[in-house]
Amino acid sequence: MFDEPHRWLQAIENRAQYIERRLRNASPAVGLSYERGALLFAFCPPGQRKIYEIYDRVALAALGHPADIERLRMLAINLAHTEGFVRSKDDVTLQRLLNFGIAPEVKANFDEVFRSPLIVKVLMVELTPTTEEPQFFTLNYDGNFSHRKNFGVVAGTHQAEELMAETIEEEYPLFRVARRGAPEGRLGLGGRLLRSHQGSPSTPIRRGPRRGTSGRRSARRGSGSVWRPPFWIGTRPSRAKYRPLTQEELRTAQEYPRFWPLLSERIAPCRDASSEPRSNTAA
Amino acid sequence: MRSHSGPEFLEKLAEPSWPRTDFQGDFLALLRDRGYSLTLGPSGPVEKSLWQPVESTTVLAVRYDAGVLVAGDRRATSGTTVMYDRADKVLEIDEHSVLAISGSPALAYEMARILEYSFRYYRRSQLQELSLEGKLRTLSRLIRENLQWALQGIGAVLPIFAAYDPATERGHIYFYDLLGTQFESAEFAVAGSGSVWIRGALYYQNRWLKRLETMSRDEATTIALRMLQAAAHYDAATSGIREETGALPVVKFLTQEGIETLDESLLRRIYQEFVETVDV
Repeated sequence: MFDEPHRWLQAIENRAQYIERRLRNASPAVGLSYERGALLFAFCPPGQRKIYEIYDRVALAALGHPADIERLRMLAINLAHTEGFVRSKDDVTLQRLLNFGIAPEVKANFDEVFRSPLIVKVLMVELTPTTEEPQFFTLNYDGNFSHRKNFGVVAGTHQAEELMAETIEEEYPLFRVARRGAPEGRLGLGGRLLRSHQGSPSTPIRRGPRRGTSGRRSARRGSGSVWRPPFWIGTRPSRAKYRPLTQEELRTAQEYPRFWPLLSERIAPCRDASSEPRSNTAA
Repeated sequence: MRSHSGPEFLEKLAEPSWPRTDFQGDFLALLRDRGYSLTLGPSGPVEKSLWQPVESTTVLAVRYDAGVLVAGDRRATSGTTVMYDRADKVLEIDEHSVLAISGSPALAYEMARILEYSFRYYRRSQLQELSLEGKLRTLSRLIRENLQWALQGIGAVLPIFAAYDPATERGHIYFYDLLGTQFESAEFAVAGSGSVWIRGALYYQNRWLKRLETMSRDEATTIALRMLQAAAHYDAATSGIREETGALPVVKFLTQEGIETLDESLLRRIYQEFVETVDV
């Protein structure tokens, strides 16, 4: 059946369409840099997660089929921990993980037309060891990946991703300058982006709600969609930088910008704690 | 163009196309899958004359009123030679547990590294913390896997594992035998070549002078420093407190707040005030 090249190409084409169809209504994930690290945001149904710690300075947010997210997540964790153990934690970089480990496997899986494809899109973030500057990478279902410095988005469609990126760049020009923003603003923006694209990935609310969009969104909320704790990287004094935001921080973030001052108060203790010197002599 | 039919193709299709990921949070299993082994080397007996392992130590852990104190000297020896006077033998494994090593540093450091990675790997892959029981079993497995090298005389490791359990708000101290059996100690534990000299002294202190678990942080530190100094007096492989070289012991506290290392200036003050100048 696939002995002729054009049939293989046709099969790949069908495969891509199938994956994109499956991903179309997926809720997006957003990653934003802020003055001392990065924030990741995602909605997901109860009992599931979309944001994960991968290694000391690496985290992942994904959309797609939960089983495929799990396969990809475990691949990344295994690669990072093996490399960190055999060599050094400093040798674990997201660029290397993607270039030589994750992306080739995803590409190979996509090309094997007889196997089930990965229905997944991934946003990964890393704090570089020297400057602690966040680096965002997005990985597509076909193994292709791209890099952005100050923010990253993955959504059900390419159009939605572009619109989200536009929103960030237009409304928050400071993002063009690395790491100027305070976490409060990032929390509000991330939450708003997610809300505006929830259930309607190709049309953001800020450009006018599409007919039927709000109804679908309400239905999703009614069925139990919840605001998941975003991943917060860069505020912990220990080697591993990952920490989920507390429910209280999230509640205030959801009400942004009305609760800015309150949020500042909540975040202040975290800043104090992270500035305290702490010894860590573990090998 | 390759054929997509026939037995060869079906065979290829049956092969797993994705790297193995089903390790259930077991970092040792992952390492084995990647070809790593803790003990690689000769399988028969090793002539002592050809091989002089680096070892010897005094490490101790005591429960005090706020948690657990873990302390260790800094010397590493090979036979009668002092190899190193800055060895760090009290190692933080995660935010609530510490490993105090005695025996062969090469294996002990490797075990500590595996432990540290195991706990983190479990947390990241299984999305929950490994229980204290699970941590203890992991260390037991590592010690038991090293039995062959321990019996050959290449290198034994007998650590003290101390952990603070935030759920029960209680510190725990465990010590091990060569087969990996763990024993929980109610008040204190000692390990290393100098431990024989201070075990009785700690018992005496706890039984007839002042109970260790009622001691304050400074009192517990004083006792720990005195014990290390006593061990160094009788055991050439224990460095004790050598202010002239700056080789001070390492003292760590495990409490509800996490792990804290005693500052060197504070350690010097306690040493000068309560250890060096106190005469009977």
